[in-house]
Amino acid sequence: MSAFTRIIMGLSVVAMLSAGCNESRTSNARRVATRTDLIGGPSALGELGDFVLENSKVRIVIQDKGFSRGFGVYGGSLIDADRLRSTPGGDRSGGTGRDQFGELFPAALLQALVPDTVEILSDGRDGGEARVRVSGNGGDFLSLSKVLNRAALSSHVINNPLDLINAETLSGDPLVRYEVIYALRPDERFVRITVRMINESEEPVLIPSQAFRDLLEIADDFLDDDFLDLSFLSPDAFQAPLGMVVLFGAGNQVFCPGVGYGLRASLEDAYGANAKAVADKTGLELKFPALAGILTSGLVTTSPNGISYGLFSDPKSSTPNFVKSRLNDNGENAYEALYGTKVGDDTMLIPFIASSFTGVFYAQAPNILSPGEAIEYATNFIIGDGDVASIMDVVYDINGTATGMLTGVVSDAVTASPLPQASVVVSDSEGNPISQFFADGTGRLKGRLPPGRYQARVVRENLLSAPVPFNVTEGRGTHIVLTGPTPTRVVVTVRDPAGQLLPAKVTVVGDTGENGQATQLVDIKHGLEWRTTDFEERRAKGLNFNEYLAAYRGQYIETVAYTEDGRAVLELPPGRDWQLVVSRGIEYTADQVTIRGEAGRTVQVATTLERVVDTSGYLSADFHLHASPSLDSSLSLPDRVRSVVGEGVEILVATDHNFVTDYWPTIEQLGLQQWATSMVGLELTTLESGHFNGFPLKRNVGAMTRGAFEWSLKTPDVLFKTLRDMGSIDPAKTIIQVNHPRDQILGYFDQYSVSPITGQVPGPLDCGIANIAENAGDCLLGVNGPAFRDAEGNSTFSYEFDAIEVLNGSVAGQMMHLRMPESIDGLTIPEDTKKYLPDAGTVLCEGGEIAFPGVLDDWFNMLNLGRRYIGLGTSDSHTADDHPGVGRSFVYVGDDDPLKMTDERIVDAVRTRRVLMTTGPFVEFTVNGKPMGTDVTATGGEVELQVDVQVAPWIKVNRGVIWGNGQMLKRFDIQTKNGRFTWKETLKLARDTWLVARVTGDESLFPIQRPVDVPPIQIAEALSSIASVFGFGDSDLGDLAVERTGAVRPVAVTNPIWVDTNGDADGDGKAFEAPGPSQAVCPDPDLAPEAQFTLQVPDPTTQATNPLTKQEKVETKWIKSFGYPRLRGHLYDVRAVFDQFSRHSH
Amino acid sequence: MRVRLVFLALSGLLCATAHAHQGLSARKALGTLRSDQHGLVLDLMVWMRISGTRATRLRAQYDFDRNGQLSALEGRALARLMAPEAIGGLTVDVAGRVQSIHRAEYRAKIAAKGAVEVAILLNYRLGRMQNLAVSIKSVLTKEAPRSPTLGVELSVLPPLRITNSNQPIRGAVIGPMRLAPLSDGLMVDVGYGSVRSSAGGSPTEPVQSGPNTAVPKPE
Repeated sequence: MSAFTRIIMGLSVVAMLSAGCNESRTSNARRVATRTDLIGGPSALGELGDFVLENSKVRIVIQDKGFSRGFGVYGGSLIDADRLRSTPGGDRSGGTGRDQFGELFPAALLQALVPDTVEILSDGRDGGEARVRVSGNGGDFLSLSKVLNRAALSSHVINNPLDLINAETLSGDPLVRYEVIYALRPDERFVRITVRMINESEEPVLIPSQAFRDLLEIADDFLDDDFLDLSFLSPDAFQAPLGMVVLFGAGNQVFCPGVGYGLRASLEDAYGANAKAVADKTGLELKFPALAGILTSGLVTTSPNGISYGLFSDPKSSTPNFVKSRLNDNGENAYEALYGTKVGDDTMLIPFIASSFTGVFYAQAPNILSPGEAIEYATNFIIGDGDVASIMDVVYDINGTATGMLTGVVSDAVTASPLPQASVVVSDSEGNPISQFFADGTGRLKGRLPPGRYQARVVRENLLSAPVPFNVTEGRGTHIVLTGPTPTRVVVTVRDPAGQLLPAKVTVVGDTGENGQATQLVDIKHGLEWRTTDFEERRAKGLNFNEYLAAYRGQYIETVAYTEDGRAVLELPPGRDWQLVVSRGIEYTADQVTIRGEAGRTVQVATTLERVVDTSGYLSADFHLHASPSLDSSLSLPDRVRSVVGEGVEILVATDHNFVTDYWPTIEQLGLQQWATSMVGLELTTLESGHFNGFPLKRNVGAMTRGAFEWSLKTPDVLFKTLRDMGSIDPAKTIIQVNHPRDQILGYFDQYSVSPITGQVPGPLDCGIANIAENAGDCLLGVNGPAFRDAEGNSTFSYEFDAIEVLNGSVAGQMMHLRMPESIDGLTIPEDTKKYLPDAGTVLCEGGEIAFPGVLDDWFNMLNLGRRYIGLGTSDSHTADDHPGVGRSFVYVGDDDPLKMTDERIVDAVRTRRVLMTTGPFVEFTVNGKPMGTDVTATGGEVELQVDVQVAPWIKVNRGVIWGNGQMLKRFDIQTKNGRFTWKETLKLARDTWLVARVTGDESLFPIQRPVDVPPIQIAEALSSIASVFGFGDSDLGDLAVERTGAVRPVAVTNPIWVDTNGDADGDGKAFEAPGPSQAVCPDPDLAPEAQFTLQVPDPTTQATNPLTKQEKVETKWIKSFGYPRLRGHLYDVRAVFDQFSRHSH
Repeated sequence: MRVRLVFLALSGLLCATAHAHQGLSARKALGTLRSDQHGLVLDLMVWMRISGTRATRLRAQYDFDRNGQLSALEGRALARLMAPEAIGGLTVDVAGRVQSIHRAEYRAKIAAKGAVEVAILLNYRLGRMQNLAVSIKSVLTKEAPRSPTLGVELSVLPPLRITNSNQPIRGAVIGPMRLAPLSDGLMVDVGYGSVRSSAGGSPTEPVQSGPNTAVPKPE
């Protein structure tokens, strides 16, 4: 090679390198034209037509305009984000990246942005930042916050102040426009998100609105003094908080610098401190718009999957900091005075974390926006390597914080071998976690910290090492050597008596020690997982989260493992006794072994389980299961299938949130075909209209959500039809199941105000000024819009569904309407309430309504209306060990082999209604020898009832009840012998009656079935901090109010048997005449204060629905009036007659 | 006075016309008196049946999609048209004061033999009182020419109790009675009776319960 050639080649290499360098120093914005532009990963939602921002370090996806593909409402959100990796991200199926991010969108109070334009402002070719702008007007994130948003933010024209008392009438043109600019600079690992709020009108915009100020004056004249005190919304006192709503997704653990992990507990503490200030009248309580919440400098997530996210406000934003601007009556910062936490220009407030939504406020709107004026606030969204430290490194750079370098190595305390992926939490000198590192594959860690004194602790397999103190000096390096705790290893094998290995569950139970000498149950701040307790103390003592944690003494679940092949390996803390409880669902015995753990030692345990409950002809099914395709679950599909099959469930129905999942490939992959089959399904997850399962469905493998569809603004009829049309067999065979219908905001019945007494839907809502005081809750803070009411104000509620999730394992608390307990000892109840409380067993009312509705009573109401909905039991499980298979449904298919099942055969069997809902007992119920789901003819009304009960030895039942037409007809005690019991009785029915049997036990099923001891926070609770300002949400029932916590206890409920006693008496072509709606009533507290908590039911001797009441001759004459059959002389509610009117069309 | 005489004369004429068409339409009213958070509430469902060529014409006019049935929208439109005739003359008095209708819902359907049935649910809010004297009357109007009399029945739901009525009472139901124009109508006094709870009703054993949730009441 000549010298010239060498020179040319050398120059070429230099040129190529420089080209490469130039290439790496650009950022890029483009529209997704091919799926290779996407990211992919467990939470990826990106699709063709979306927008990508990318540089040499990171790639993010911003959704195109339209409606959200995730949990939110609108498009234009940041939906996917990942580091740029050496392996390709996107591909034809969407990609194999590591996106674990849910969704991020700006929020002004509770208003979001409805994007009408998404555009590339700069594609980055000039070497500068690449920018994408999303713009549009304000829209309600929740329709129920519409009045509040419009009044407080002035985002739209309000023609008449009185329009503010009725959400439906607020339809003025927009005044304010929002812009969100996502900007990515070359080589940066963060996206700067600038939100602008612009007055696009020709008049000044007052915040709060002028209409609202006018309404306040009107209210002064017209309303009672004690109606609504809205003085806190006066312009002097009110500035609207601005920030973000972020959905991190279940795969991420959220960490706040200075707070640590476990924000759920910290939030409860923050609420508690404010509540205490109110109770103690210290004057330190926060006044609206100051909301209770966590104060932090930023939000960070961590994940062992090599991806983490950070959200930090930009203190250089032009708008004042909302938290810093909140002053109390003494002129002090209200938050500093209450919480004792220093507040700065970058302080963020987290007022709610609920149903995967986290709200963050840090900027505030001005009181006036001139025409054309804009204000803006900025946020930095950072993408890290999985730990907090990689995020904080970027934060330190952005803020110019002086730092020193920390390096370290983590090894096993006994074997000295390096501990890859060990988590190291660094706390300040006061023990507040401020950063976190993941060790690399060789056990080494590296990152920066500001100068100061710290301590580090290693977290490994839910064990926490002793703290190691160290100092960091600016500009210098510090090296620490850490040892991680060494666990005990336990290997468990599970076989049946014939020696066959069984899929099963191993539950490890610990005890804090009889004398309470043991260490605290768990350290949530350092990221240790919550240990579920036996739930025997908390409620009785009325302790809050952290108090309960500190005081708890008793048994708890250390960990749970499932095995698909009969062999499970667990790692446990050493030096303690552990009780291993091995089980395989409710048809099998359970085995129990106690071991002593020693560090580094392996213990072998062999167990045997026997199937003792004869369920011949039935298969057990769980019709509501989640896994990682759901944003709020991080469970892999193999772990999902392994856990459900380990509980002995034989029909698995995948119902991820707005994602169509198929478990069958995973069942095959794990070799579990002999144990279980599956159906493809979906949980249609709307924000405010309810959650609905559909199965079996077709799965569209070409779509990112595999076939889920857009639900916004659609009426239930349309949703049900669309879901039905997705059916894999025939639309008519698709089962539509209404899930947890009484959940607040997420429950269909609750949102559409289905009467818990009659099962009917109310007529048009009257929001006229004359009735606003009475209907304020529904008019001001009620759902509204075309999804809920038609043009004439009628409800759009639809009865076109097939099944009701009567038993949902994750909704603890109660299954029936709340009734008066036997004793109120130890409960805090207002004295005024106590003197009016009814007898034990009575349904409790409050404010003229059922106090706390339960779904079983709702189902009974529907049956009384003649609507034969299938009652189903499900778990709604989201994690491996929360409660898969609790409850479940036994479906009679006439076979015991899951391999012989087809979707059609299962669906046909479900539709026969020979289905049992249960958490433990197996019950068969017959009337004159006919099983559940059948129609029985018994002319004259004499019927023989038989209830056969079977239970595994670890399940205790003691009581049975027969319900007829919604009323309790018979109760019987149960004493099982060898796990079996039979009850028989002959009844004389006076009229057509549907019959349901229920079997229960009082003993907790802990530890095999996990209690719910930490109540989930729903969106409703999050909003209650705002709603309570308006005087809504308080209960006069004190501790009688239901909490969504509790131990799982045995309960089984059959589907009905319909008994016809008199043929087709009304000539409608059907032998069975439904009894019609209940005539009970919750009294008006003003008119009948002494009866306000008591559901008033008609005299049983005159109640038309009472199946056991003999009727006078004159009363047995059926008349057809208005097309609706009824008994002459009997009480009726004409609303029910009217409701039935057009259903008897010719 | 003159106006009233003219009105009566016109009413008489209309009555005569109605007799001439007897059998082509019939009216009934079914009511429920109850209490809720708005105080005392009367729901009154007025029902009218139209048969013969008039029904044929109505079906042709309002069965827009020609499917032989009336959808909710079609039924509502038809019922609104017929409302003056169906309701005409029906008034509700409380202590002598005529009550205005708070809300009305409209439905119609095609019944056997091609007849058209209209149902209108009228909602009256009667106020917050411990005791109440209600009367349901029929006055003569020109809108109710075809069937000036109508059958009325009223049911009173607990915790309200009937204390007096000018009609026979069966349980908590009064009527049915024929309501003729200018008659006293159906009169009833109601009040809150003694509180009767549902004790002994439905105890519960929650699926997952803390110690404060419902506990079954022993038999």
